[in-house]
Amino acid sequence: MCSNPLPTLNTVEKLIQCLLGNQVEARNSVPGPDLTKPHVVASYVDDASAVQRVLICELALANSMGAAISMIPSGVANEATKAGVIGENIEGNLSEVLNICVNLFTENAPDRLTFSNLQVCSPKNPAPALKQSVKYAVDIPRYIGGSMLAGSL
Amino acid sequence: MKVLVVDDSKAMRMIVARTLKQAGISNLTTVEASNGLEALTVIADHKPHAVLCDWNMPEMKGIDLLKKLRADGNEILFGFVTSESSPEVRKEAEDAGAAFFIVKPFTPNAFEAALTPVLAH
Repeated sequence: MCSNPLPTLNTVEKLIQCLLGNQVEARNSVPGPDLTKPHVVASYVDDASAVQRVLICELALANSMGAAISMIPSGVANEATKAGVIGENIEGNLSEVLNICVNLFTENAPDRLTFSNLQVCSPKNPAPALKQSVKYAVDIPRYIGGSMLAGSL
Repeated sequence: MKVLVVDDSKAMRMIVARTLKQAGISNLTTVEASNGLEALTVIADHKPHAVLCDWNMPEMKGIDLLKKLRADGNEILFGFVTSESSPEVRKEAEDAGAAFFIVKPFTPNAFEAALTPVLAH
């Protein structure tokens, strides 16, 4: 059982700013990602490979984050979102962003976690049920923003 | 100064190279590899002065690259740039001979703080 806390708004904003630039803004968000539409689920596992934490991002935000880290034009991200997929050239970048996001769950926390994988989920292929979650909205200049949540299983 | 950046993410290799420049490392040139195995070839071919290496990579992990280099008697300046941040991982890196450990995400200041002392020697 992992005892690491879910990240604060400040932690989320600072980490994403560090990755994508100081103009990024985050705020608390209700209701969070719309899980009736395609969304990206990143899983973080403990040393026994058990999923302990997840990050769930609206597809548009996921494509935007993956594009913004290497300045892929926003149009490429938006086209992928319209198609309901993670952009072909974006997926590797997004994996790296979500890999680094492990530190949302491990900074000053006792248990080691590692990024396991990402998958696109939808109502037909739902994300795992969560015990607890915190929701945020993220704005990235020149890209479409969106909601994300950090959750524990 | 020639620096080898080893990371399986092309975007991250680009960001590390850019951040090295922002950190004011003088006369900098960078070469790249996408995993530890590829890095061994690049080190042999290009003879860089330092290696900045990710921890988790396919083919050969960063820590295995470092152990291989040291086992072969190669004392190249080697540091990690990784999302791993646990004390256990840091200790494993230090024990294997890493000179510095930078946690992603990072700032140019973090690079400067980590690299300036080791480059002075």
